[in-house]
Amino acid sequence: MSENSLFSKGDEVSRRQFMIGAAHSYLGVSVLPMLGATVATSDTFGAAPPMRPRAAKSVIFLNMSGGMSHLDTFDPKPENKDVQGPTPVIDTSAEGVQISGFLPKTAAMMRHITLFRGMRSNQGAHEQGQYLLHRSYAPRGTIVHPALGAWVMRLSGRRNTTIPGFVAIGGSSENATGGFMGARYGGVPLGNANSGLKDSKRAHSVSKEEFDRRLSLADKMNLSFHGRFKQKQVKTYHGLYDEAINLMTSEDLKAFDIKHEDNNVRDLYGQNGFGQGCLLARRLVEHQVRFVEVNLGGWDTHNDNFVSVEARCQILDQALAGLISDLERRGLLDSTLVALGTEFGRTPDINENTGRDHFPRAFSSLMAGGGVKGGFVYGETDRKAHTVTEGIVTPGMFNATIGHALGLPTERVVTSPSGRPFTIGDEAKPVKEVFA
Amino acid sequence: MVFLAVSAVSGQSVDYKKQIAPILSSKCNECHTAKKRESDKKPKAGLALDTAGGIRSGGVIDPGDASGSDLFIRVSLPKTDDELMPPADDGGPLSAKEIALIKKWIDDGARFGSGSGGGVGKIAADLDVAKVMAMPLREPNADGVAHLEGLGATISQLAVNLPQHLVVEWISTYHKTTDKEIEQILHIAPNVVEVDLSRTKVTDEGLKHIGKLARLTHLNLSRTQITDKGIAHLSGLRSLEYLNLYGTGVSDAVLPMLAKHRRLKSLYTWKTKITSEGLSKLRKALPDAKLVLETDAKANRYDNLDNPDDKYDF
Repeated sequence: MSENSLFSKGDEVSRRQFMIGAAHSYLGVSVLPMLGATVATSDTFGAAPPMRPRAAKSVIFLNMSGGMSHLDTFDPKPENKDVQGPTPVIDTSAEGVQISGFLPKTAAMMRHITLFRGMRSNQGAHEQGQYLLHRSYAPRGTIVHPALGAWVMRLSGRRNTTIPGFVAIGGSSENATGGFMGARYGGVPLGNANSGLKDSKRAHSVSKEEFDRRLSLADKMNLSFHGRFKQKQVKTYHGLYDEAINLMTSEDLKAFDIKHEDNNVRDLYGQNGFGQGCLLARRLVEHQVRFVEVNLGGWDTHNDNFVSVEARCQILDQALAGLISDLERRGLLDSTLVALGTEFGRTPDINENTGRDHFPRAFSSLMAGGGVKGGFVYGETDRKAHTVTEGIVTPGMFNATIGHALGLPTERVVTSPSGRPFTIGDEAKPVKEVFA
Repeated sequence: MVFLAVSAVSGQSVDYKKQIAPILSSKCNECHTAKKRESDKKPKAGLALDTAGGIRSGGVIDPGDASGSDLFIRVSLPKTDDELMPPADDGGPLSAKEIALIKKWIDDGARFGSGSGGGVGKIAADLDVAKVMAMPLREPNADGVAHLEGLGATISQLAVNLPQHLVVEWISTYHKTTDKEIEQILHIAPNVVEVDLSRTKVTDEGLKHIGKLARLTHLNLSRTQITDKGIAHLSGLRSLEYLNLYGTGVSDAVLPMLAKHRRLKSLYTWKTKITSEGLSKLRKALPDAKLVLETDAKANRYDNLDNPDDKYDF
């Protein structure tokens, strides 16, 4: 069809920017740059039903960027002081499971948590490791793979159709990319939790009537782009207007405003960017947002590992335990999967700067809620935390497991515009043993 | 050809059951079916075209816009196109008249109801738990589903292969949902297994209707104004497994009533007048249930009464 070549891939950015600019100039709204990402026109009826009953409805993905030391968090080796260093080790609420003493509140929540101690990656640099973690594929020059949240949007769709279904708080906006699936499956990146959705109210200088008039003009402009066979991208951008208008009037906008929370709840998560990001994630999940990522950086502890990791852990411990307990008392933990991942672990050997270096060969991650077992450990490493001896899990398997928790068809092949087949976990199978 | 045929069917409205369902069943449902088959448990491409729920949730129709709907686009492609449905070697393409009917049906809003204008009828005044239980579990009443959706409800299948089991929620319309809208759920009473009324304006009176949903297993009443009086209306719900009462006005007085729900697995009572003493008594009646009172925010100490002897103080 010749119509399809009108707006080829190469034109996407310029056309998108044109529409955003037009919306800004004519409509007086600037929310569109953030929203463009989640417009989906084919999911009018919300999410597709899950492959199995009682699947999780939402995911909160906690991204520990920089490479979280496994020895000093979830895979301590108290019997081997050479690799353990000064990090203390404590019992948890799960019998026989010990973790780092830097995470006492998380230890109390262990009965809700499955630990993955056999994580293994083949990427030892941050950018490539984060890419693999989020997309299940190693980076290649010829294609941009979609982020996990985009897979969730593509394989199932939104549950709340008036607000975005995929939101990423903090961290790189790359983590919210739709990749080859296109902008409409990508996420909305938010700089930090406190700012909420900016500019999503009609500007005061534009009256309701004037706004409607401009909108109808913009509609006419846009309609001229529609051919006999509507081209998907065109429709996507047309949908931007509906989306923006929905947002401006939506009761759900409150979901983005954590100022509605009591101070003691804000304290529960910790009064810092990551803690408040987790609080915002819970609010979004209450409004049926499907996939929320929250970023905590600073794990790249080449120097002064033990001081730095303890400081990171204080923030993580408060927020993670706060999140799990808050979800549980609200009755949301069974339907919400909390997943924590990182691009790699840190070397068991302590370097001359009392630091640890990159170590993709063995590291840890975890899941809680969403139907996973509590107080369960999947996989283990040897006595030096150096090699996975049982239960290897790759980033692709981890992502397929998240997909399975949501009841997605994890084997579903999605073909890129270049005609190549992809799956949510790069053909990896979910780790079903972790589900209760 | 297609466009000529369109004029042939224009004018009269298209009836889903009489005109669309037969096309789908003869040409599409061999592969796109919600029914479990021995060879393949899931419908092709996860898309079931033999139930209203399957079509609705499959993302292939954009009501009011056939030219933007995959269902129409895929059946109207040229015979040489790889994407044509049904495939050319599998009964495709459809006839021009069939394609035109599908186009008109989607353009007119893709309604699954009878289209007779008779609406959904009255709810039987004497409808009760026993009557609902006696109703066979079959494909839900499409008119009832459309009617409820028109009132702001989100209705979905429990799973791809369970088109008869429905989940009813008011996702972004909770703030304007009252007993009046909630009563309309009775039109699909035998099919409802989960209801989320969280943050709606439901009252104790409104729970009378919910109390008739005999097959209900999950009920979320969190952050509503309901009290002990409302819970009394739920006594007939013998299949109840999950009950969320967080942020409601209920007290220990409801616990003897809840003790009779022998299948209850999860009960949430944070921010209510229910006490830990009360829950301890309930535990004797329901030894295997998870009874969640709260987590102490300050100490971050876990007070789930699952294991009262198991305390962690750090």
